[in-house]
Amino acid sequence: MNKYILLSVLVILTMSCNNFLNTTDLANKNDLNFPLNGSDCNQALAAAYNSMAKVNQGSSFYIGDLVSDDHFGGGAANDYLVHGCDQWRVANPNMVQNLWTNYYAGIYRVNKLLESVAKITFTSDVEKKTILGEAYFLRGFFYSELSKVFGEVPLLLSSEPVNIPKTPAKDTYSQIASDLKMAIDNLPADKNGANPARAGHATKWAAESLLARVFLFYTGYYKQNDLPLKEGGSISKQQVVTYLEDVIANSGHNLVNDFRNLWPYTNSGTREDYAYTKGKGLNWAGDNNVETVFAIKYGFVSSWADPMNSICQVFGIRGQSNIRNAFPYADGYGGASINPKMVNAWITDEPKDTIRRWGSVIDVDSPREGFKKYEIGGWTYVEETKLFIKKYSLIHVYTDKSNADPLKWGINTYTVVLEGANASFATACLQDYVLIRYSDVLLMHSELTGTANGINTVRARAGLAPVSYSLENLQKERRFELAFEGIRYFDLLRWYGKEAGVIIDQNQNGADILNNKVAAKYNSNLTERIRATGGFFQIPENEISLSNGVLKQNDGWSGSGISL
Amino acid sequence: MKNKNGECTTILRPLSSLKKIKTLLKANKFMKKKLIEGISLDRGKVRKIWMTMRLIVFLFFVSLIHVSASVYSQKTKLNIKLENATLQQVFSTIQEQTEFDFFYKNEQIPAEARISIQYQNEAIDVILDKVLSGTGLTYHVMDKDIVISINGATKREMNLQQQKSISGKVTDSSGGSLPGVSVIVKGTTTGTITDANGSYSLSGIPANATLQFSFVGMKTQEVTIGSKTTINVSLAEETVGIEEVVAVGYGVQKKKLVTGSTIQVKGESLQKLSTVSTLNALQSQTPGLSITSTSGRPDADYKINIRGLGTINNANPLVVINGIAGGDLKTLAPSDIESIDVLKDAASAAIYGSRAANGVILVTTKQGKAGKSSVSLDTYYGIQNVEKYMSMCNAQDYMTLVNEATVNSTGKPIDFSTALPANIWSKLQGGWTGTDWMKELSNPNAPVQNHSLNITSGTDMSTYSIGMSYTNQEAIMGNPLKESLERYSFRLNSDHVLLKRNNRNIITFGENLLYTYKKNENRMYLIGRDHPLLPVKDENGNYSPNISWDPDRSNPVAMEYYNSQNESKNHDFRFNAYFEVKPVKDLTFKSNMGYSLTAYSSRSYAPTFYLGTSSYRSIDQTSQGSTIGVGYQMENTLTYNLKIKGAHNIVALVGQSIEQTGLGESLSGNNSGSIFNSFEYAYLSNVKTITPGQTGLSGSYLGKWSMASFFGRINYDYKETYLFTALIRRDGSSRFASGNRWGNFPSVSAGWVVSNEPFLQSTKSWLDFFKLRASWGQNGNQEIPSFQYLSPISFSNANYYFGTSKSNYVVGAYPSMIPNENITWETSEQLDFGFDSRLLGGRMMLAMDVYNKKTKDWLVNAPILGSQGAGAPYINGGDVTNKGIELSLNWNDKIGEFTYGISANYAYNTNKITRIANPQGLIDGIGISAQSSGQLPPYRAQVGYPIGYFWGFKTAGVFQNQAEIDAYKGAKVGNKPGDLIFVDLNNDGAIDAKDRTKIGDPNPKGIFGFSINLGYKGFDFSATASGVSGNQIMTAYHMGDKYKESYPTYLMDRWHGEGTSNRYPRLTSTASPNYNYFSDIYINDGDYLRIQNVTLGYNLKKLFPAMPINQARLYIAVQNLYTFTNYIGPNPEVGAAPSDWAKGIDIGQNMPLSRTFMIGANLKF
Repeated sequence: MNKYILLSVLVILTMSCNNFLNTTDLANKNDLNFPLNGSDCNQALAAAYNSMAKVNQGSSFYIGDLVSDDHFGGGAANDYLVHGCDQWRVANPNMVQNLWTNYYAGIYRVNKLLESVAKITFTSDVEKKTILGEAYFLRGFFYSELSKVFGEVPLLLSSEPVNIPKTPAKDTYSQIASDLKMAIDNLPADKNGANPARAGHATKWAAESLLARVFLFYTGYYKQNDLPLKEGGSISKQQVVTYLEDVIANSGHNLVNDFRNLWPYTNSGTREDYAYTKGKGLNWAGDNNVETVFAIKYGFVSSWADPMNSICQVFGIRGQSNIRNAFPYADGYGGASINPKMVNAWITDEPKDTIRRWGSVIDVDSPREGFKKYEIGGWTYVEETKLFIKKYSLIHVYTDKSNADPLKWGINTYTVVLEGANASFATACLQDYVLIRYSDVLLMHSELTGTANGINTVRARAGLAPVSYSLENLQKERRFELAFEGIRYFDLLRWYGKEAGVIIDQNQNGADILNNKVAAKYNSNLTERIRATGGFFQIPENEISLSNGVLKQNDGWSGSGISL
Repeated sequence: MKNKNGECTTILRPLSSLKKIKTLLKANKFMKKKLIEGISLDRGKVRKIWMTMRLIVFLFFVSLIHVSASVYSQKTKLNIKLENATLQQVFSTIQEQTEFDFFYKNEQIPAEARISIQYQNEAIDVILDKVLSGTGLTYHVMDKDIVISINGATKREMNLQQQKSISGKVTDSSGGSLPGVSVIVKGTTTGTITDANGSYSLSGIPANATLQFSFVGMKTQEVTIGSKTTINVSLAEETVGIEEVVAVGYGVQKKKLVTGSTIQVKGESLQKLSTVSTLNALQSQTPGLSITSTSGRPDADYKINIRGLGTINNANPLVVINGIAGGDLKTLAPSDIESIDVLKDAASAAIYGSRAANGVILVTTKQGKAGKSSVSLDTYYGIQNVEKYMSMCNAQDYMTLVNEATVNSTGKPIDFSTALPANIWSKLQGGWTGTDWMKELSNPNAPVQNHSLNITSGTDMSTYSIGMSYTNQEAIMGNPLKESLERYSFRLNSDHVLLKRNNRNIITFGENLLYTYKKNENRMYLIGRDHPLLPVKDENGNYSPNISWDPDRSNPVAMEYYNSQNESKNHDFRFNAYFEVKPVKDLTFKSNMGYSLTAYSSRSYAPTFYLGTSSYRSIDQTSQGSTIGVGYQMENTLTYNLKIKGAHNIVALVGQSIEQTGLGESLSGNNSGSIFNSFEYAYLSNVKTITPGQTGLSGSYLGKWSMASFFGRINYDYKETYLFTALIRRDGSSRFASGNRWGNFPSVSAGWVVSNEPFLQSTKSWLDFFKLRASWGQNGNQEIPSFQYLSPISFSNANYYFGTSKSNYVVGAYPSMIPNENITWETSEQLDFGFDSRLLGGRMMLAMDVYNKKTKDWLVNAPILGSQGAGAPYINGGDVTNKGIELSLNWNDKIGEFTYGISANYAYNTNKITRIANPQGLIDGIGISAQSSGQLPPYRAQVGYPIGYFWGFKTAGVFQNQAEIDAYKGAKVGNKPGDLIFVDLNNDGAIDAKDRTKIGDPNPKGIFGFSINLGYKGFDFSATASGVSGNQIMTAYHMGDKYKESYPTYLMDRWHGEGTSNRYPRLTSTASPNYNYFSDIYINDGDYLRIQNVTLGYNLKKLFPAMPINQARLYIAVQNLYTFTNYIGPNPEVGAAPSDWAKGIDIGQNMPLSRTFMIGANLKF
């Protein structure tokens, strides 16, 4: 009897202790109470967009520039990542882990959201369809980016933490196609700009355009006719053309009147102090302009952990001791210096394309730029070509021009002065990354249909005469129109497959560069590297080892002789 | 008197009465003593007193025996006539006629004696004189009793019973009076205690008795009374520590009976070292404890590991202050500490169960003592200077190296005359050797002072201890601002007996209150790596701005000024109160409640400045923050002491406790645009504008955490020779999911006092005490964030900017972690064998321990697949083994008036990871800022290696010439003379990450401490030293890819021509693997021995014994007098590192050690 009493006392004690030990997490919600409604869903989506925005260095935009024939590594000799991407070599066993983990984090966030749909109370069917559409768009986007950079990757469609091998490309692409089709079918067909507050959200038009890009890459690189769908069947070229024509006809997207107005150097604070833009009646169309089909958006960072467009900084003009000398640029690291042979080819191929060319390239020695001074070799600059990206660069504004003493004119980035962003130059890189520009939609349409309409619309805006359709013309047009926008390398890859390196080497080797002020010739061997790797990047070694051998490293990324 | 049978065998009635008297006398003394102490008496006691009073009266008559005898015996006249009668017949005849009684022993009466007498109206003495003459007998008249005895014997017997009064004073060796000393008549329970002045008096004590004087901590002394009426005694301190009592968690135990591995350090020996930090003082005194400071700044953090690093999670031991778990040794003033007990083995620590895996440190603050009030005042003042500066190249050497690097890379030398601003160039031409930033940042003769006052007093009913202390310390670096620490502490500990009965404290109440206030000002920013070519100030007296030579580098003195305007205040209040009830003898119930309140506030101001295009702050920043944290604990214990036949001793303890902490909130904000622009006014209310992106606001709750526990312990000993302890604790913690919440932590230990065995009696002459110990136990560790079993949705770092405004963002929310519902305790299991011994009459003490500590199921945040998309949960994912030996040796002796003591301790430990539960079997460290960019972390945790070992390339020297390069067969990275030869460990023809290996271990193999104490006629001298051996340090004072950064002088030994160096490769201005790859050229041995403290003191009381104080000691001391080391950096004690489990990473940005000269005084009243 006593035994039982003792036992019950113990049970009661333990039970009451358990109550004492129960605590509530007041700092976090958890998956039992989140997401419950549409507003929660939008927060969940924002976190997935945040994963997208977090990847700057190492993104397909960054890699697509660096490895291409348009750029060299630049920066300092110890800026390993730019040189690793440029030469397709191992700078660090985990060199683009940032891309891998952030995109998979985005996928996890979307999967969690999709798994929660059943318990969510939506206020309307439109709300539900919009949220689902965006979620599918984002998953499609993440997998398309991962597949573009790494080739085959593990396809994870639930939040269950599993360790699986790479999924065959066909299966991943069919999932991407299905996700994007779901996005197209669910997202409302609102005209661009109809609801400015929704700027930045994926739209039906973005999904249709992205599907076209995926179609072109998959059918090009993998030499297929159609893009399979997971649920069976496939998306044909005609279907994609229909989607693009839907964008052209119904989206409300259009070209901005002057090519230069796409880029922030034409902003109101800079343009009249900058020789290149002064008095030309230019006016920046802004981050949410009509030509932006889909962009990664950046805002005033509230903390260092917030994403910022660091590409502007990393690829900006390097090594100037006085920013005023290279106004409105400088304060950058000088990555992705532009291949002078590319600019020369551009001049040769399209001599009249001055608006686009000089609207895209900073030639520091040219009187067009009106720089007071350019100091070469600053901060031990290597692969310097004195040519920089103009589209994405740090753009400055004088802060105190009313001061009589020009030396006292302050200087800061335009986002700080015009928009009130944080003062730190690093955090003031707030220019949106345009991932899909309407001109790309037009060019994709030309490419898919073999017609010149799209090309010529784009040329007309640049003040160029029409041409007839040929793949060569299309290729040139894409190279110049979309220069330095992270597209070139992937275009080469889908057009030439494993032989893309041949083109790259041909277009860039032997170019003149300065290594730490010393003249040299640029040389790389991408022919061999892209053949060996199939053009796909190294999977972070950490992932390989953490998978315990389940995940295999991509071809060409192990063994000797591949390190930087 | 004859017995009933008429046989005069023994007639002892009066003598046995005397015995009774004696017994009652004892009772009387006892009662008397109690009366003095003011105890009310119950009815039984009153009765006893009445009886006692009567006896006192009786005794009074006894003492007046001669007087009373003369009265009756003189009045009484006898008529007596006897013929040839025996003596017995004479006595009985007189007895019949009178009221006299005769007492005699039959055997003493000569049977043959026959007497004939005849007297008329004669006095008794005349008659007896006649009768007894020639018989050898004598008589004694006591009132109406007449004692007959052999001549002289009666006199002796009567003397024996003679009662004396004794009084005197008890003092300690320094002459101070000792209250509360027990004075007992040996072999009896009769006695008293000395009063507040150390005085005592006893009366009615047999003259041949021996008095025993005893006092805790003093040697018991015995004095035979003899003819003395005043006995003054000076008690010597007990030097032998084996009878000491040590804290063991929820109670104390005699040290000689302890079966686990514990060490006790007395507060006095900590205070003697005159350090601001308790942890600093502990360093040399605790074998098995690794205490490493992270910097030389006041209030620096220390890394404490007991018996090696057990986990890469939180490896700090649990600190228990006055029984209340959770406390910070850093906030404790040494003067508040009575003792620190470290529970090192699992068996001892298991009483703290789930938090004891890394050992337990029990702190007892100074407690009150019964007796005379004692007041002590301790004070010191010192000046501190940098012990050793980091040796950096001066301007000329710097220019040589930079130029050489440039020539090596570009072939062209630098024209400094154009590369440098004209004013600097001309200064250099004038012989200026550049700026030594370390010296410029230093604060010479930084003062440190400490004053503490302690008062203890009390009676045996109530005692208290009050302490107050004030500390003020400036840092040795931080110029132009002064980093400083100010600390005030207040303590009030008291114990009160509320009910006392039968000499037993039935109900006791006590409390401990400790309040510490600490203020830190101008915490230093950072020691820069700036080149020496920049003067601190320009011609106009302004801070020199960046120069185009290296525009990224900013004036460190200016940066210090612009970045270190801050202040933080810490209030730490701890209170606990207990009731102790002893309802019956040997049973104690104790209920203890603790409460802690910590309040923290801070503010800072970051002014605008402009030193160059990459070094400016265009908008000022005002920040303020505060946190209030509350925790409480309640525990109840029941202890039963059982003695069986005086041989079996059992102490059984059961208890229960509950605890909650993390109750409280924090609030902080920052804003730009102060209307005052100065630190003095740096309050958020002085900023009037709210600016998106510049105004920050944060407030959070601290995260409640609860624990409930049950525990029990049995200590058993048989004749204090065979010792056994078993204990178990069951803890439930809110950190784990229901179902994984409860953990059991058992332990057993045993000891054998071999020296008590008869077979060791032959060695008694030199071996006083020898005890063997063995223990086994399991402890837990639960130091992880709460809610690891849920999938928390995080709202941080996931904003996204929709819409047309760049300032409006949606706060993103995402599942931040893959939940682990199965997360549970980390367990450390430890086996310990050891012995304690005392030799040569207590002069020598030797102890040793051997242990094997396995920490299993680490709570770690092991990396998971990135493709799993969320943060890694804490898992129970790793095992590590620490094995080691600890030795300690003490020798204390005296030669005449010269006393001396030497103690030494040594601990040897090896650390090896045996499991990490991810496929790689490793967890990488964090990349460190001092490394060249893009490099892999230099340290890691990996199976088969010690925690935090250095992971990098092995090198095989430097290529000296082209011929060597041409002859070299293996893979190589550099191919110029002066390049490093990296070893291709796996022989795959490439030097890559796979060739990295263990190139060093930051964990010391050996930790040692020494101390010497000497005393002679009021002079005392002591020295302490401590050190480590067998560890390596990563030294990274110069980043390989920043060639314009300052150069440490050791790089003067770089390769610059054949035969110049086989370690440091050639310098280049472009980044090169030579210095960028982390290799063994950065690894240096970290062995050192530091003389931490040398003190010379003199007690003025010896010179002026008449001074009205007990002690007046003056001393001078030096801290950190000298460090013996081969380490190339300024300080081989490198605790700072980028994560908890890393150490030994010296990036040259820590504040160096200070050397302090001080003068102080200890006064005792």
